[in-house]
Amino acid sequence: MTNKINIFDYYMDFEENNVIIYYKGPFIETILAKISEDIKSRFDTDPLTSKKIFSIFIELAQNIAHHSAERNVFGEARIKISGNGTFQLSESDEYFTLVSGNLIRNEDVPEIIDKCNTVNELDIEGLRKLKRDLRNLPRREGHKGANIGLVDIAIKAQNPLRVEVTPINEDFSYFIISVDVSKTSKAE
Amino acid sequence: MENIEIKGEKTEFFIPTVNFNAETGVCEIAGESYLEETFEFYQKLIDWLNQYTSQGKKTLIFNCKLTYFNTASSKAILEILRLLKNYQESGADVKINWFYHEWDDDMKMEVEDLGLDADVKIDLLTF
Repeated sequence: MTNKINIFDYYMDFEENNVIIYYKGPFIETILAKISEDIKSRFDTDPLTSKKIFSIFIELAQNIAHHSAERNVFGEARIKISGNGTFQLSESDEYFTLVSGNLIRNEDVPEIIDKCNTVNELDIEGLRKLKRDLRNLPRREGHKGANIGLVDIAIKAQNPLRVEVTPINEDFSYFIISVDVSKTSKAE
Repeated sequence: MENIEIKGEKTEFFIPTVNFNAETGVCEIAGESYLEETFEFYQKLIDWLNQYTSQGKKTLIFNCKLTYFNTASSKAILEILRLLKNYQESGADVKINWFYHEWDDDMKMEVEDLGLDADVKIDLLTF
């Protein structure tokens, strides 16, 4: 193999783009808890922005843990299955940017793009209404979440969701979602 | 009737601290809520409240001091608020206090929306 990944190039890319946190691997709780704590302590001078970043991270991470098409199975006595994915937090002068990436099945692509488009067409009042409507639906059998993560992300960020889907093969695509949080964010 | 006493922790998931007191009728939930089995956790609290509210018209004070809860938890919290609303409508004295940090505009908005959905009065107080 000659085309080895160059760790130094990675490092320089991250430095140039002001990447604060980058994680790739299984989205298991022990790791998520540590990343959460890191986010909270890092931005403790601006509690509202810090909480927005933390809340959005948790919803993105749960999406990966529950829905990533790339699964890991841990343990023998008590088997835990979790999704694999990538999370990145970076900053520019005006924004913090959160990005998540994971594999999805091609048949799930239209639904997820639909959801994101719906969210992006709404203003804050429309998003609050949609969140309430979704929360009022009955619990979904076999689902752990409330299915309102993306709506909540848009409410907290007060910025549109950017979505990128890259087909890999006939079964899978790579799904990237990113969102900005303004450094001077104020809820309306 | 036994009290519920759960000590919160944040090692893996975020388990809130819960103190529901059957003698005083003061029910308090605090800390952060992000759980592995959200609905199972909250079902225990809902069952307790159902039992408490079925024993006459005893006063109930619900103090929510959660500083963070994920969207799945918010769905369960809404169920609790609806239960309290029903108890109030049956003629019982129910008071709901929600504590939040003054800077937390997102929490204020969330509580307003939960109050709208449950159609119940929530008193917002700052920590």
